[in-house]
Amino acid sequence: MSFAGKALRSFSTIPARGMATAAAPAAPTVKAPLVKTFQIYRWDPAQPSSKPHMQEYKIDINSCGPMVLDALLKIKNEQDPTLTFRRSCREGICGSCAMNIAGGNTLACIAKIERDSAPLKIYPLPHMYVVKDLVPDLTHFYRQYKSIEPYLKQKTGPPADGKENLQTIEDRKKLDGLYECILCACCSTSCPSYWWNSDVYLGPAVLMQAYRWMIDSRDQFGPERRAAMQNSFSVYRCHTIMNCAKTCPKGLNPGKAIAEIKKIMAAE
Amino acid sequence: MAMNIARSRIAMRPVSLLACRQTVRPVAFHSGRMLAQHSADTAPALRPDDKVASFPPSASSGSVHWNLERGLSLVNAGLITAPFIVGAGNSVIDFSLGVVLPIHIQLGLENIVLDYVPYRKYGHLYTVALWATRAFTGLTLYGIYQFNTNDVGVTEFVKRVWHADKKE
Repeated sequence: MSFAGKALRSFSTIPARGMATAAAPAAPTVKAPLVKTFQIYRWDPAQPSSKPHMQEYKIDINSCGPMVLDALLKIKNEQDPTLTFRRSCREGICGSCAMNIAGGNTLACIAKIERDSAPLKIYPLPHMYVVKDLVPDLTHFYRQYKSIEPYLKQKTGPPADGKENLQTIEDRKKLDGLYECILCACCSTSCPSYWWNSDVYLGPAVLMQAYRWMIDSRDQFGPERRAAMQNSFSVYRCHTIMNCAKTCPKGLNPGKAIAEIKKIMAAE
Repeated sequence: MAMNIARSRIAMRPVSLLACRQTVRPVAFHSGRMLAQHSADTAPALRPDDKVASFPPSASSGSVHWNLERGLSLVNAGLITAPFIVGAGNSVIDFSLGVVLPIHIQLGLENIVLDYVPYRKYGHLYTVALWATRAFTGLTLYGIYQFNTNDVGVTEFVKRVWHADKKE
């Protein structure tokens, strides 16, 4: 680097911390650090001989955003770039950062950090295969979703006028509380029945979407959709434990949707 | 075991990226004998159990079974309330309770076996557990029948136990 370059660098617009506090006439009020311990599940597939373990990180939550995802990003940026988790929208609409925080499944981006010094435990979604650290393998979950054919199916074909499928306002209202699901898998992975029998039981998230298509006035395959569930496993492993409704970060009620499916099937 | 054979067949199948359809046959069960066929277009599977099970439609193990459970629950609610109205010692109520209640409990026990000792994971231990509960329920049915015919009957028995300390 040339002498000029070095000289220029010394005039950097980003002052060193010591100089800033000395130079600023009215320093902004800084909150006293509030150090919180984050205990995070770690497992690295590149080291198959080492078991999963909990790793502790201490961060000052007064210099961090309010949500658990902010803390995770702060840890990844400042302390440990190997910490692995999924995240995308940071506003509770993509479902990527679903994980088990303080014992409950929720989205890290909309879970507030408790403002105390008690340690916070973070695990991946329970009873799922782990890809790495907080990243669960959702392959089977997505396959189950695919298996219920989550799209409009019609016997008559599209409307003759070549325009959209019209729906009354009342019929549209039936989809409220169902279509908002973002498939984060918080509910399914909180369900004990899904833990024991996820290979055959579809789980609350997928069943709620199945119901969403059954009651769509534009869909004509409701009976066939339900006929595919006439066995002891697909639906009837639901024992109304209702962990799904309790944990849903979007405030939806998959348990009720499953009960509605059972109700329709009971009358068929 | 049939399941292992099915799995190893999948595992040994050469993975071809050109193959867009692959037929897999997971062993499904209700009575432990059904073999479900499932055809799915698959990307190369991560694990052999990464497929979605499908079952031959069977209302008897689906909605009909569920309706039976609810129906028995309703009848039970009536049978348990009735003695408080008509009094203990009614032989019709005694007999009905002695039949409906054990069957109701049996259906619940079968659900527990199905949840925790499923055939696809535990093999014949499922069959053993299932028939153990059935044998136990059969004995219970016989015992309550004997008690109802040769002794005071279930409702009168509950009444006497309830007031046991006041009799002296």
